[in-house]
Amino acid sequence: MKTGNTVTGTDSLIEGLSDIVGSKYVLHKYEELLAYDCDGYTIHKGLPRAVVFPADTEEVSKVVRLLYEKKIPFLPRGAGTGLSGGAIPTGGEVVISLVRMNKLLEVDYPNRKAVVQPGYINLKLSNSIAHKGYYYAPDPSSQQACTIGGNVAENAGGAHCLKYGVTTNHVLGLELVLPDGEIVEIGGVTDMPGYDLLGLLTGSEGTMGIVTKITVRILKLPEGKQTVLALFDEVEGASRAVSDIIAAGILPAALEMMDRIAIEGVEAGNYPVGYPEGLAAVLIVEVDGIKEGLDDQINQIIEVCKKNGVREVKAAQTEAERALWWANRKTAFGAMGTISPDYLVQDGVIPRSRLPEVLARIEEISQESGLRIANVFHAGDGNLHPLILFDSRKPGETEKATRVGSQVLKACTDAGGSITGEHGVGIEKKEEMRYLFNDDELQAQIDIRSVFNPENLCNPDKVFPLPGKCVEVKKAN
Amino acid sequence: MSRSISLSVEDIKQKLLTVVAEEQIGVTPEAGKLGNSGKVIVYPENEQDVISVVKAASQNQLTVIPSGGSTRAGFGGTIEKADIEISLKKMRGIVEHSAGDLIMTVLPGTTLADIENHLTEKRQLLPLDAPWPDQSTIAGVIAANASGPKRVRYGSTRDLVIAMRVVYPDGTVIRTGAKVVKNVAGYDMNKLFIGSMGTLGVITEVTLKLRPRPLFESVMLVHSEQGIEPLAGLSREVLNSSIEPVSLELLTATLNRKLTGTACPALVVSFEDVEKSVRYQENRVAELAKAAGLSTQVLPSEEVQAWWSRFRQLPPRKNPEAVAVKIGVWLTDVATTLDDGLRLADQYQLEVAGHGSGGTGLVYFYISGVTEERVEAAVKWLEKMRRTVREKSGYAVVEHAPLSFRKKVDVWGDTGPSFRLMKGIKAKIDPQGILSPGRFLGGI
Repeated sequence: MKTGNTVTGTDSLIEGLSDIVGSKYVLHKYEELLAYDCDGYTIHKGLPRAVVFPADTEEVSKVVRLLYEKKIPFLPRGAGTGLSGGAIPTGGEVVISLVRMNKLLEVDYPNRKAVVQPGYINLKLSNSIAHKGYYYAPDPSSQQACTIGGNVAENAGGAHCLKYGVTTNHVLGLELVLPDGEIVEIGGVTDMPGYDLLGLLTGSEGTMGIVTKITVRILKLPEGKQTVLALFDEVEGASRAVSDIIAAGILPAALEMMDRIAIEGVEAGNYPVGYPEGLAAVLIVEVDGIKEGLDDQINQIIEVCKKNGVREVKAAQTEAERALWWANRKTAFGAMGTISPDYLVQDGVIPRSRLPEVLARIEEISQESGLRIANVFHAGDGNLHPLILFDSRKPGETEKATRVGSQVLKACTDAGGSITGEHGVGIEKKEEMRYLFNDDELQAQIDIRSVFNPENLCNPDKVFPLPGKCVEVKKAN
Repeated sequence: MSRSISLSVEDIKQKLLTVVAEEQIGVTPEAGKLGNSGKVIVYPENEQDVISVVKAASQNQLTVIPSGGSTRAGFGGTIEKADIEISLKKMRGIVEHSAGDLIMTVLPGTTLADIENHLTEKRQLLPLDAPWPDQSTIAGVIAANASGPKRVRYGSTRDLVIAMRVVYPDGTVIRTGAKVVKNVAGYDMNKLFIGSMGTLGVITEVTLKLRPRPLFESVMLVHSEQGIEPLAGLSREVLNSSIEPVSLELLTATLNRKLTGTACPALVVSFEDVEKSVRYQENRVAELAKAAGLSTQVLPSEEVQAWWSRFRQLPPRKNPEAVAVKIGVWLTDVATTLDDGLRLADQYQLEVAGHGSGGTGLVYFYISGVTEERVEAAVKWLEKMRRTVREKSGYAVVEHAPLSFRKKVDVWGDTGPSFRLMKGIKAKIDPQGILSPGRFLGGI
């Protein structure tokens, strides 16, 4: 294995790829490929047979056409920050990395849109248009590194999607290379006639083609923004406060919660806030909009927290204070590394009103397994991020963590929720798709994939549980 | 996708009697001038009925048109009657409203008014101001992708539908999405059925995202004696400020006359928030308007509901001598598109009223008095408009027209570069082509 070429017949493939993009932009040696054996989901690993870096749409199309002709599977990759393994090769796929296609192509303020290449980094867009008072709303925690192409593949969310929605609510158009190499344009002005392919493609996890250009909606920055921090001695109080804020008719821009173990983690991380000892939960509530209306909302939120036994509650006095609260929260996943050798992050969603009982169930699962679970989550939309802490050096503990993750997702679907709110299914949650969908429903989705990706060469073995059973059941009907 | 034989009304009835009760079946007497009805109409009372009817249709290769409040009978399609019309009118009601989760699940035949009435009491809102709320059913609104001026702030069905139950043409029931406000498990299959005009499945249940009801709302009218351009300028300025309007709707002089009696173009700016914030924003718009030499008028708050209620009754619904056209362009082309529409109306001596959103780029024209003799002129108007908006990367779709008009012109226009995929989807889901045949883009 550890020689230059890994797979028989690879020589002519490498040659073909090099002819298209230049040999400098094709990796095929074992040691070079190692960096591409996983993404942000590190439990599974798989080596690609090559990694190719096209410079533009034409090159992507030519690469895909070549692979299609040779019947070699392939997958697109952005920054590799995905948390469900969507960019991990499972059968020697060729990785098509889009990092060279990283330009902001156009900003059209009067029409509130921007056109970017797929490798363009999420945060860079907001930074590039901030001087005109505009921003791009979806803000995944990894926004300093993740690409907008990846965001489209995963239908990425973020802390502020409670009020502003997720990626799908902000994508206006796509240029796509289909799995046979054909280039198509999808979307454009509002409500283009025809089936909503844009909506189908967003969140399809790279299984329908490779996005090579994205038109997104840009928004005007809100006039005002205020943030409240509330510290609770009881998780129940914090959960009730979340429900009561919504019941009071307030739609916060963000409503985030962290529990005891998560607080321990973030305080040991790079951006400690200096939270007092012994807290059971921290809530961050942000409201934005017209300044005139914000003070009343902030007062209402503070009142609600007080009614629910808050230990301490305050509004941010400066932008620096607000920024620190957010930096502390947004780096929560990474901070777990300081209190545990490894962690597995889950992404279940529950109806907000079921929060207390599901958190109790997660606590039970933690007790039963002996693995600590930290909870960092978008409480406003019920999107939980339980972080299962484990030590991969201990035999069997990785498997145990995976099992615990699956149990947590079962708890979410049992409460009427979903297995993923923003991280995608990828490799990780393929089997858990069965918690949510029956065989007919899975087959209906696979049927759609087959329209775009009939030979299943483009990111195969992702999103759906292994077939077999589905097909038989379908025939029996 | 071909059908072998054409069955008589009696034969179709007999086939259906094996799966539903006699009182659930009716016979459509006359072919209306809008078409899109059925030789036989059946009223399922629950999802199981829908499954049985669709299965029976599928086994006998009978064509099926699902319907709701029939406000869109003049939208798409060139057939007078399918074999069966499945009316979802009797599947009406709220299944569950989980106020704490800001979601609700309703049956497909539930009208927007039913939903609005229920939610008003609970101080919540389904922010979907599609036309004809008393008649329009939720499944119909979704299938036709109907929306209203408030879409600027609140989005449309694609932003609000989180889960559905849909009966496929072979009788299989598919659940799409999940009953939570955020979900990326598998493909977003909800999107497939939004705007699909009943060509892929029959919707039997819908779960929607809600918002807290705003405490205060207002409507502000800005009139312009110097044509529409100054209003378009104001709309751009508002968009480029931190003001958060709920609607930014430009009205042609012809439409403004209908609504307010004033025969000049107008801009409707509306706000929904706490009163303080609404008043503050009204003042800011008034200042911007004044600087542009425009006069503003804030409607008395007791008139706001009535204003919107009239607005929602503008599109033709049953009128066989009216044509409604929906146009999509980029925001900066809305005003010129409205002007073009009126200019061409003069040229072809048609009576045309229009409005268009400076915040979404959607423009609507309503042509009235389209008698048999005037159909030709209306077709010409449409063809010219299509040419104009195509140059602006836009499209024009006829949302309402008599059957005679629809037989003369392709109401959907260009199929676009991704049509192969759309045809592929239709062929996968409905290989026999029994659902709403020919009612959608490119004859799907």
